[in-house]
Amino acid sequence: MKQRIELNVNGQKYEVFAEPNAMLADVLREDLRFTGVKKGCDDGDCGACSVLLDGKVIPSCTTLACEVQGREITTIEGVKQGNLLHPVQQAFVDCFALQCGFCTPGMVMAAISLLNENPHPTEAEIRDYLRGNICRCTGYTKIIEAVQTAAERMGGK
Amino acid sequence: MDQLKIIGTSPVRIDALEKVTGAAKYAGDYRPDRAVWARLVVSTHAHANILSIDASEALALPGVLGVLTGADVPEIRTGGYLRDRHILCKKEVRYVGDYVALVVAHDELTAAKAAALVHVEYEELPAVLSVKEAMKPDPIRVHEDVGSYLPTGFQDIEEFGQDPNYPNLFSSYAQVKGDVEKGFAEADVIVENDYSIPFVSHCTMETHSCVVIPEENGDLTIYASEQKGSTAKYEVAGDLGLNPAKIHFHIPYLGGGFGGKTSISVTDLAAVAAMKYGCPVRMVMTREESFTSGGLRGAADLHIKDGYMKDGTLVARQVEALCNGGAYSTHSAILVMCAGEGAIGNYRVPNLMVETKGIYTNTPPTAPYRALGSEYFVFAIERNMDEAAKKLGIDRAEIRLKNVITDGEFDGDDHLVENNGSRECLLKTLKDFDVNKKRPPQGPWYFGRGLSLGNKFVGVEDPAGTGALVKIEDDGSAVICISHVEMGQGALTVDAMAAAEELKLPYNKIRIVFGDSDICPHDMGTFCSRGTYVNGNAIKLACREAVRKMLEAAAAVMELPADELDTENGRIFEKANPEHFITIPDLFTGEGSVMEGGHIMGSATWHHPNAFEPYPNQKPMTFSYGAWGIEVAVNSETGEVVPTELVGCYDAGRVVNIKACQGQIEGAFSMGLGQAIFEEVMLNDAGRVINGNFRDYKIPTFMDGPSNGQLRFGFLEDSYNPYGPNGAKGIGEVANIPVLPAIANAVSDAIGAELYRLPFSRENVLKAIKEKQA
Amino acid sequence: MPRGIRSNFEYHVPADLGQALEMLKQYGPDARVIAGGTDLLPKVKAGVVEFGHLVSLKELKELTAVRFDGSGALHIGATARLGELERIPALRERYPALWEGIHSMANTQIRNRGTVTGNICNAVPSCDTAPALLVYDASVAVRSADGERTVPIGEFFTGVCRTCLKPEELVTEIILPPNDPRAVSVYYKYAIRKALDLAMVGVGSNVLLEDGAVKDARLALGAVAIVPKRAFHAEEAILGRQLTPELIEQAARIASQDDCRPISDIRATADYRREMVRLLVRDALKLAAGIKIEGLNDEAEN
Repeated sequence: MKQRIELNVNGQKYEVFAEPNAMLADVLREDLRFTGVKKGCDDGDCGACSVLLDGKVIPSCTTLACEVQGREITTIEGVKQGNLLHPVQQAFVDCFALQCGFCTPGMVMAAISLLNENPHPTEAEIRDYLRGNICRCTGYTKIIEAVQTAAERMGGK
Repeated sequence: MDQLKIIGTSPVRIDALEKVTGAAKYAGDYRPDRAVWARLVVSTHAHANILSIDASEALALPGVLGVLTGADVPEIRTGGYLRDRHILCKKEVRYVGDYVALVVAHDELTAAKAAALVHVEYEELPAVLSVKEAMKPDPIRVHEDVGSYLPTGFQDIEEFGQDPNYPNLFSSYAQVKGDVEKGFAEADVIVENDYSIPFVSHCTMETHSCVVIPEENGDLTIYASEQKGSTAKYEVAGDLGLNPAKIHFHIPYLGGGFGGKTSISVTDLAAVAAMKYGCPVRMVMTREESFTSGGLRGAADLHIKDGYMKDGTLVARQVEALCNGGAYSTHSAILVMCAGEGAIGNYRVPNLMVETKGIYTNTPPTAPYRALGSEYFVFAIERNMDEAAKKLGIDRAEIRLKNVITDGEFDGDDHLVENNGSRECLLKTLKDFDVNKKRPPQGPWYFGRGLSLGNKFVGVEDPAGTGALVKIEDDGSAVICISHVEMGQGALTVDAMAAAEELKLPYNKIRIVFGDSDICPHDMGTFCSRGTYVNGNAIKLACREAVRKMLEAAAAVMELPADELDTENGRIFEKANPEHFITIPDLFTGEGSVMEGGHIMGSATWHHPNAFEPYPNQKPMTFSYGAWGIEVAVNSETGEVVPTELVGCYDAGRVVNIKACQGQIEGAFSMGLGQAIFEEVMLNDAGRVINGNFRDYKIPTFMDGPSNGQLRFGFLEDSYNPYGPNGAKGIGEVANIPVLPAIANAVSDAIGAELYRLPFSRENVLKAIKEKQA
Repeated sequence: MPRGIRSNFEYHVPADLGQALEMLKQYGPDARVIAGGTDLLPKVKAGVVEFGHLVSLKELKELTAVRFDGSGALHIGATARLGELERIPALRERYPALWEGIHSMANTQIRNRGTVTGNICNAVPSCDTAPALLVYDASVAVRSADGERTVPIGEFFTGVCRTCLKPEELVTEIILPPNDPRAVSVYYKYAIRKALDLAMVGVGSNVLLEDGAVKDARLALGAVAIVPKRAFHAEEAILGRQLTPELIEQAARIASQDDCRPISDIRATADYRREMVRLLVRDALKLAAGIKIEGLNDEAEN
């Protein structure tokens, strides 16, 4: 039985009618049309669906929408700073940290979550924190460079 | 060589902004009004007849529009090269996961639920799961009568080398040069081995997806994640008996391809549903379906026999490859005709016999995987070469240098070798990598080193050529219309750079319109490492025409003959007096139309000179090459393999965008590493895929590769391909090819034992170590 | 219910623990609770579990608490997230095996949602927090509408994906008694990849030496029996004795032969698992004894 769910996404309140068994990723994609949230496996194993919950990265395909009412959800669409890209986004562009781009939204969200917690991560810490984000195209090298570049630019070093 | 301004630099990707903001749309993101969802009901048997399908429970669910079965699809079979597959099985199912029915419902969840409620009764049939079983006399037949199947006509291939004595053989091909028996008789040492190549999955992050929209006038508008460029709409048209001109096929960004979206798609299925129910149908393969029906790299058994002289000269090579084509031939038919190139691209082979066979079994269908079989041919020959070096007591670098083929020679196909950087790649690698510098063990860790070359032809030459359109806009920017498929490799970026170079405009003034079959000219598809090559060339030609037209229009304005004018950076100037110029916007009235009326557009079609030779005798357009020197550490207690030193070099001709090309190598290294130590699609005895998810099928994560800076590689800066756009070749597939063999050679060196079976999982490695110790 | 159909359930959000326990009593086996849902929701999506009522624990603030009590014992609230626990330095210092067990799980995303309680209630043999909880002698506080009890962790797991909990019971916290600061404890997770994989073998150890002799030793194994369990035979072999390299080898062998019954599956054969038990118990004991463990130099991996 569909029920009313109030979701706070990218700073805006949205009202959605969804089944209790609806996953956050599907509600975001289909009901609210945040198609930047990607589904790579729908099983919690690839990280493509990563969004932030109160600033921390979570797997939206394995989260019930009704469980996160009243919390702050951030998707890739909510990450820009006015008209400027978020430093992490800009670093991904500058460092060629993307190819097909399908893992990119989730990767950017995870990187933002990392830098929120640890503004000066080492390469090992970056690899460890992002290990739940699978990329088939880049081999991860330039993604790490991008996170390091973003950290520097955000005043980390 | 020309003075290039932008080619060879690294402007940021033209699609980066869209992708990094989540604005980039993939086929599964489109949601036209009133769109519904389709989901498959699949076979649970490897081989069976469908006795009955009871969809009553599914149809009773609210929100279900209907359930399609084999009765609802055309009689005509679909296929990559051979029409052997009904859109939905009409009676016989041929692998676990074969398409039995299609549920259409208002939302994805309802469609999935309904699919689980469709009850199918089967009459189980004996199944054949291995190529050896399939090639026995009087075998279980996967298809009743292979010979009755019609060709699709793709690439004009009508002959397949079938043999009525082998009812599961759908394609065979032989490459012969000289006399191998004579060669073996002369040889001082024979190295003869069997290599076993497993099924692997492309694991594109985006699975096969599409939406099909039926228009009021009977046309179809399609958005699909496919690699087949302009061919895609002809495939759908041919499969469904439609007029291709009434199909508007859009190929947006792909979330990865790697070949897997060349011969497998969900478009036909969604199209049948869309036409039946009169509303847009969305379809996205689940990850599990992708592992089963998304097209695997087919398993293969290679038997290879090499004859070497005492001094290390290769004199004869014989390969028999039995390629498991799965239940439907898809693209394996062409793999059979091409894979053997891997055995000849880098080395001189005076006597050669390669027999490749494509064989049906009741296992999942295959799709071309980076790189169409060349990857495992190269693996086999490079392993053999190391073994020969060992037997002969010859240095492994020396034996390669001795046999490496160079420009001016004739290769195993008797084609003239041109622009072959194999030797230079190897030499450059050896500059920084000593294959003999074996480190002493560290506790349980044993070190080993290996080398490998690699090659992949850049194909396919297409008599229809590749077309491009260029339109000059009144603000001095340019729009390029091209059918190049962007699946992450940087297609649109290199195209924009080619255009910017030719138009002498800044890179950020170029916009690409891609994948719209109504306006983008013909290109047969983006695969076989051809994209940069064919599209770049087409764009250059089209831009030249646009420049001509610009200068003609300017001539009228500046009252000078056009041949006294040139353009650069948005100005059109008098060559003899560059201060006398106008700007491109000056050509336009201010309403988008040129002074004398009209527009400034260039269009062109480019062909490779080889394009009109008959296939398969056609010489490939060109080849790209690569080499790796790799050191691994192998844990003698656990069998773990860790790459510790990595030096490589690639010949991709004049590299267009250095950073993007680096990204290809880095990504391909990860794929090669995965193939070496992790990846294998496992089937149980009933032919079912048992590890079809990202937990049990392991692709490398952030934690599984070398650290940044460990991967040291470069490109041959002096390589320039005479027919490539600004000297470029291709990189997509060769990027992958030398990685696995170099790791294999290194592991073998570390443990002092030969490895014939992939992957080098920890247990397999440990087993080999223990057998050696015994 | 055929596989593949997502369960449709009623969703309840009790305002406090009492309400939650009443709901569990009322709905019995037809209810599930959810904190992170990282084990439950994949099952819901795969359609391999069916239930009518989901009781959310999200409003139960008392279950989120993580604290050290007066005696130095650690209390981990049932809904405290794994990610939060990782960020508590005192937890990492005093219970390193638990920290390592938590950190080795899945990935950052899952750990920002999942809980230790959820991990042990899911009770897969490869449960990553179980070996640590076993070697730290943890206990589990269980409440129901009709009472409460405390279950030693060694009695908690009763079979593959089975615990001693009754349907109406709820875990409220996990308690770890203070651990001797001189003890050396560690958790080794052995898996094919360094990320995302379930443990093929898990080894936890907590060993206290006094003058080179084993004063106290707890060894626990995961993924190699139907439940995570203590390696009592190996413990017995070393208790009270000097921890020499020879004894270590012997104990490791005993653990691999007598303390586990691994199976063969798509991840590994039973023999390989046994061998990894032997190697990891050996390394854990070497660590306790201060004997150097050979690793690859840091340019490659740890």
